Amino acid sequence: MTERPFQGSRTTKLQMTRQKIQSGARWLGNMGSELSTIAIPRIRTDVQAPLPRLLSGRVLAATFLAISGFYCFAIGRDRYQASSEFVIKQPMPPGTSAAMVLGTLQSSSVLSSLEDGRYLQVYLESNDIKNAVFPDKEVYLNSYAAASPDLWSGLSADANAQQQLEFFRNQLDVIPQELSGSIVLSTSAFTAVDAYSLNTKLLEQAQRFVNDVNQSISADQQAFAETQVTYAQNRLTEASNALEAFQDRYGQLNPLAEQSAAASFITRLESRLVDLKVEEASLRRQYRDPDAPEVAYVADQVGELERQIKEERQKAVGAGGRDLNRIASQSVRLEGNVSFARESLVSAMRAADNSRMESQRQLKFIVMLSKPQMPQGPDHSWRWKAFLSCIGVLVVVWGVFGFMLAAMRRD
Amino acid sequence: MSRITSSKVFKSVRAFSDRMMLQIRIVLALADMDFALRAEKGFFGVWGVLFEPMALMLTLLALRILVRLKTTDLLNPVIWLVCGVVLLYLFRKVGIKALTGVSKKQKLFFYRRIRPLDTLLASTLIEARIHASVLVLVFLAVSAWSWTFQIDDPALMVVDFILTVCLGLGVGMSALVVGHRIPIVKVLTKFGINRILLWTSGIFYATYTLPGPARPFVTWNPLLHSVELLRHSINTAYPLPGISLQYLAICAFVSVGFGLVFYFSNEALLLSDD
Repeated sequence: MTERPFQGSRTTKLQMTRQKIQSGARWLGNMGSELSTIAIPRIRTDVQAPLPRLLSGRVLAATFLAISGFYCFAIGRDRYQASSEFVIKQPMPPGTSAAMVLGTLQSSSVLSSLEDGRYLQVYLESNDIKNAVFPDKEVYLNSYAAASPDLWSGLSADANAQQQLEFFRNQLDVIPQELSGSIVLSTSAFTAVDAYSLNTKLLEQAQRFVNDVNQSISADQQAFAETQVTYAQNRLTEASNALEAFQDRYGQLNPLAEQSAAASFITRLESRLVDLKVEEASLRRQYRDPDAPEVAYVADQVGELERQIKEERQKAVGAGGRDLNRIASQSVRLEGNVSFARESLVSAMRAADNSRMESQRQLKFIVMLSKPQMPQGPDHSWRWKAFLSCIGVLVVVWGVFGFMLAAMRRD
Repeated sequence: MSRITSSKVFKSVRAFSDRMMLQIRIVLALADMDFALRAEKGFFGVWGVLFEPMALMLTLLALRILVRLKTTDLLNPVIWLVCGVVLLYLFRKVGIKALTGVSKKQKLFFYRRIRPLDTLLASTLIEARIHASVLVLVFLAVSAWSWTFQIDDPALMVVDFILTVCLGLGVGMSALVVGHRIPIVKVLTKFGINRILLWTSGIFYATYTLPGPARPFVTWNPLLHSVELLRHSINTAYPLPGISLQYLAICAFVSVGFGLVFYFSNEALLLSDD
């Protein structure tokens, strides 16, 4: 090997090295045997460090690691974890379940459960649930109180409401699973019983949430449908009343038929008039005298017929007569109203019926995939995770911030 | 037989720790030198070393906006993207670039203390710091912008990053020898492996969005496991179908073990050839 044997104390070596560097030496050993020129800046930094060695980065890092290791593996309190898994199901009508082209397309039941799971996630972490699970504040504070020697973890006795809620949120994890749609509920506590009990109570709250949502949605839908039926019934009644009043006023059962009869009568008169006019023209050609009695007879009939037609027409549509056109159109409008109101009522009743059936069919319920179990022992994974996180902090401080500092120093 | 005394044990431990410290100092010194050389080469000086990966990130983000790549709503899109880009480019810079690493550092081997492995360790260290800096800076910037700071499993994040560095180092050790002895591999790598890695590392897609039958075509790549685990460590609700830390760890340790054996059996060739 190229290394020289270990000689003398470390202080002597450092002094010799410092003297060499101060005298401007570019090599600290024999050429080819030591990492001289490259290592000089680093060695110089170490040798000429103004701060005492107790405050060097290495010592601080080692102290930090030692303290974190001591906390994580020696004085940190045991934590117990209980988990359960469930899915929020909604029965699907047959035939709508799966026309999936690709495997990635999630079925609607998965998406529905996932959506409900996200609502549930927010709901279970709310203050209302904290109060429902721990109605007695003292019990809550005692269950999670900090205990010696681990005074860091736990809830302090004088924690305010916000801190209590924050702590409560830290004790539970509600994770909807994107692929399966199931929801994993994990709870942690300082005793096995507390972890199990918290998980069970949260499951009860989840069940209540699903039921409440279902009931409120069903009730809203049903109430809306019934309002619509009442409204349609009222409208039908009003329209029928208006039609009856109209018919009572004009004393006719069917103005349209009457109008049709009048029109038919006028048409017959006009037809007769045409025949008489043809006959009159024929007689005028037969007789040289236009005042001949045969001609005058037919001409009188024509004149009378024209007057009669005019009178009949006036009587049917004129302002002073029966005004069959207006009455007929009014009648049509009123009858249309009645017909429309009747159809509205039918469709409103059908919708109400469907709503009732749908609300019964679409009731969601929680299917337990994995019930919570009483933890048989403490969960030690948090110790390793916390310790590795401390190492991560050191790595980031050294790797990133040290790197940035070096960059700034060089720049 | 000579007796084993406590002073002998102490001396040998002391000698071993001194050698280790010297080795660490060599690697740190080489990393410093590498950093200084890079800083001189770049247009922006020292900061150019950081800006280069960030510029790449911005390009990919612009691409995402233009092409509307599908991301996920479980993570911020920028963080989602930076997880993939940082780990892939870290691996490429450490593992694949080692193919061309020996010839450039040949002058350093004048010092008998410095071996090719030291140069690789130094460049691994500097790349890990650069890419970790990019990751942390982008993460902090996005967290400050969105005013939410979320790392669900920091321990997994650290382990994942270290395993990825190990994976790159292991592949780099083998690549050091292979690239030196068989130059054609460099060309093949440039046109083949890089592209395969780019498309199978999950930079542009999340594994769980792939159809089930298509997943085995990408989950062979340990880098995909690394990228997805990093995303999962930020939000534990991020699903990991077919992804496991064990697979990544096995790949990393096997690659390091194989790389060490391969390297030490060919070290003389690396030093003797020009």
